[in-house]
Amino acid sequence: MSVNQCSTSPTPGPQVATLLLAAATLCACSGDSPARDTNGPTGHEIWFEDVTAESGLGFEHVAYDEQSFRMPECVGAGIALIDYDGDGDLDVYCLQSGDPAATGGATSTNRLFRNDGSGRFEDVTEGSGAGDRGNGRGAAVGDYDQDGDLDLYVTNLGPNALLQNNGDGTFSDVTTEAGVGHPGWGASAAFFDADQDGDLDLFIANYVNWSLGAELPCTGAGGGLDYCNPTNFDAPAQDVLFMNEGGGTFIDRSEAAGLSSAFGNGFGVVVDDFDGDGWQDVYVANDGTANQLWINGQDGTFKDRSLLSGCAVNMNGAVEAGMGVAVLDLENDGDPDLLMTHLRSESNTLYVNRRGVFRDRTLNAGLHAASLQFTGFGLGVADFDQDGNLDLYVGNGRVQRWTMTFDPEKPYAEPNQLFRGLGGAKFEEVKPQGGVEEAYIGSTRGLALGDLDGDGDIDIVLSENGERTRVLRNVGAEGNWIGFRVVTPEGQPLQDVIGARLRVDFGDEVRWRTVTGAYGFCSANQIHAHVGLGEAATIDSVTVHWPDGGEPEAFGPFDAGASHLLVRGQGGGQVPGTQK
Amino acid sequence: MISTSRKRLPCLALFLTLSCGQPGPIDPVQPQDEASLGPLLKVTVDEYLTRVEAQPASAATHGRLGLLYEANHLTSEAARSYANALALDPDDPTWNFRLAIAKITMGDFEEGSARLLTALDEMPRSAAAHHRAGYLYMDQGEMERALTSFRSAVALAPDGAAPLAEASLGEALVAVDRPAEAIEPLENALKAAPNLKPALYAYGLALRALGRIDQAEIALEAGLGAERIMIPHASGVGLQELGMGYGQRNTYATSLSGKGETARAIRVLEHLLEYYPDDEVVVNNLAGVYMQLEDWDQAKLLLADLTASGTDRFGAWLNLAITQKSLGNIAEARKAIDHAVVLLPGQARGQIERAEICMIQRDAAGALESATRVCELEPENPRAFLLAAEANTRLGLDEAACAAFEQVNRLNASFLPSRVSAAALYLSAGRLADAERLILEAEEIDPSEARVIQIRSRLQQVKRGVR
Repeated sequence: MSVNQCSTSPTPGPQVATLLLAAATLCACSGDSPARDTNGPTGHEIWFEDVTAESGLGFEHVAYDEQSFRMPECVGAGIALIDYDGDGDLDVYCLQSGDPAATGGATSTNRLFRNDGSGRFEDVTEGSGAGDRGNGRGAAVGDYDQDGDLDLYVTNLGPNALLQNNGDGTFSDVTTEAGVGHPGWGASAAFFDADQDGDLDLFIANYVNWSLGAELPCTGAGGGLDYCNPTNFDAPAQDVLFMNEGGGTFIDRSEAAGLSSAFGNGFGVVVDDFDGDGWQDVYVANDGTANQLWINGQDGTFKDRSLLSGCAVNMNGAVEAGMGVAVLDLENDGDPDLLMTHLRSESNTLYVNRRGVFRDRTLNAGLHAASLQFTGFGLGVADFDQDGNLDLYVGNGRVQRWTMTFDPEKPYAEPNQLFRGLGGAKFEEVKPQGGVEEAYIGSTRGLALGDLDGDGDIDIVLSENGERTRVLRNVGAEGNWIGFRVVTPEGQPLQDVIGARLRVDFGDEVRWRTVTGAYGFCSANQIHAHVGLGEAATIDSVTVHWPDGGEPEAFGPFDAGASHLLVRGQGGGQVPGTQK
Repeated sequence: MISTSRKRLPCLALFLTLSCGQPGPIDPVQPQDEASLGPLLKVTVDEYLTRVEAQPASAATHGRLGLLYEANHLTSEAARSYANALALDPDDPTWNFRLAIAKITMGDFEEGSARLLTALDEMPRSAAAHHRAGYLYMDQGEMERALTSFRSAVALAPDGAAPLAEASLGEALVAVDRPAEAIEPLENALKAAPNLKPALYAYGLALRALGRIDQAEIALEAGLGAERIMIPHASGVGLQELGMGYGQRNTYATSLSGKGETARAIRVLEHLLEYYPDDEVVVNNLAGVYMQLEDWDQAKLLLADLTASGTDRFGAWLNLAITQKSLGNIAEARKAIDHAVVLLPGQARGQIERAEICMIQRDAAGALESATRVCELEPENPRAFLLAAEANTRLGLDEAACAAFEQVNRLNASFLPSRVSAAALYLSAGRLADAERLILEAEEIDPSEARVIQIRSRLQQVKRGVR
């Protein structure tokens, strides 16, 4: 994302370290967003506008050629936001699955859409090298080769692919050379620095050891044929940790890391410092098996502490069907909390973290009853209305038929949901459902959050299973905002420091954010941090805690309404809670 | 918030009665999407519809139709059937109760809770109703009400159901951060039902909150995979038997055979085959019941036909392998298991079976290949390492065998044979310290075991010789 939200010709490079923005220009930009429509019945709030038609994002996901009730048909794919050309706006990478029975990959490829800066997109796949032909499921974004541009890792039902950004608008498939073409059913993936050596390693959640021959005839309500759930196969697939060896190569360290000691039907992955020891840990949301919380042993090993930490299963001890997972700090205490989506008849589950011990707080959060009737997949946590409290958007869609349908023509379709954050760990659902004028009844799978149109607030792109990808523009942001891009020191190729933890202080308020794009369901979100400030027009400081354990640095103060570049080594303020 | 207007529903019923006079015959509720019903369910639904058509003014027939729909997850139809039964017999609290459950399942918490409260008025001594109410309140975040309901359920629950009520009370107390108070009801529950997973998990959370971490870990582990278990109400007994979906019948048969009711399981599966002729899963399940009865000949008949038809069902080939092995047809068992592991090489059960069959055939290399794969797939499975150790021993790969035995020892603190075998190998290799270590462990387990004594004696001799 460009430092200058309204610049027509952003100039990347070390010079960007100097703030280019004029507050007046920014105020003009941020004032362009229409106010939230509160006309109509009390509680009728429009937060998003469906701009799919005019966005130019003409991508149709294919789940099957003919419905055969093979499990991959109902799982769908994620979506990735990536500034692949370094022009400061978010481009979109859409994953194509195709029929799981088709040999030779999908009949059409993944597609890359370039953003013109205003949230309008153009298909630039041809000639880009980004059109991977695998049965696409998920994507991770990161600069693994540290050359200053963002690369893509694509997970497939079948061998995954690493697409190296050549820096000229094209990609090269370097899977084989890099040694990361893991076969099997890849789901979510995340780049992160596991060993604090400064480069990005790669964690992949694998779903099920599946093959066409292993398919089973399963039935749903009423006894008709329907999709199986993964526990029918009893064949969970082990997750993988690839360690970056430098020079463009990785090595599979899964065994040495201890990942074979616990695994399930992995779907969602998030990375953060869950125990506050300064090292990146990994949480895996599993579908129908207990989740894992891999605590970094700081020596190349990880240990699953999910059970004792209280985030393996819900408060009843019940294993749930973990789909998407997000990390968020609801209590603003610096301890990353977890939120997961699940099947109908299981609620979405909130685990609140206090110094590495998690407690299922779903009942208190106002999320339990509201989510029981829906099957949630993608989720995104952001301060959409910028009132200072994190909100929640959940993408829903069934994997089995049920007696009650929202659309008789689409038995698997459900409306999405939007929950307004009330502060603390509490939410209330926004109506109309999903915060749009007319709820779209679809089968949402992955969704990605980011500022697509450069107006500062967070928009959403949704991957719909077997349907057209949709774009929701945020029209409900009323409060102030601030954004941060955290980058490597001057003199190096400009890279986002994935895993950096930001503490933002303004008045008596504190907000924490982690620089990561890896959360949700098989998707990659905007990497830069976004914070809603409510009425605050400035922040006092933002402190960066580096993922390699280096001395935290404080920056600021900053004015709201802009995104700021935080360059390592250029902080100089007093770190809150310390004495100079 | 849950509605607490208990008076609404009786007034509504009164109004309807006054306006309509005596309840008249009511047409049965038809399934919304008949085309989506499985064949067995369709036949059963038709049967029940006919009964209602014959007695359209009978609350019981409408209610039984509702139970059939409920058992088959046709909840909307169930709700309407229960509503019909209730209209015909407003004095029977059963139908209000079942309608409440259906409404809650459908997500209509407002009506569901109102009906549940009415049911509680009508059945004040029903532990099942109080228990359901407790969870309804809990799911809405109304914790004090949940606690009150669970306490009522505890007070009213018959002996068999008391642990469920105590467990729920404990769970709710943990949820409101009162772990010290939760200990007593949870320990009561576990005293009566030591393996009750919901109680174990909640107990683990309470112990963790109280800082008793080691005990917490044990309880949490034991409680993993808990499911919410409702105190049964008389009206719901037999619901599982009414599940007529293909999957449900298979599951029902499996649960019957799990309880030792094999004759019933066979009847269920044979009946299912009438509607799904030659269905691979049903045939395989039927063979599985015969295997459980150790009727290997009957099992072989079914499985041989199934596999000859060209099935790619891993379970069928695995079962055939096990059956042939039990009949002493080892070569045939090997063929079957080789086919199975090609179908699903990542399935540990198949690889374990193959390793064992290979060992019988004295194909140590084949056994080692499969055992190694299981060790990769299930690194916490001691049986896998034991097989690998045995195979390595047969191949003369003593160092690898010792490493595998050590894994078995790591995973099983009280397993004697692996310690003894490894000690013997260490002794042969001159690694006296390792041999000593393991024999000491073995002696702690069973000092009187013959091989332990023998190896101790040899060790002492070697040491004397060394000196």
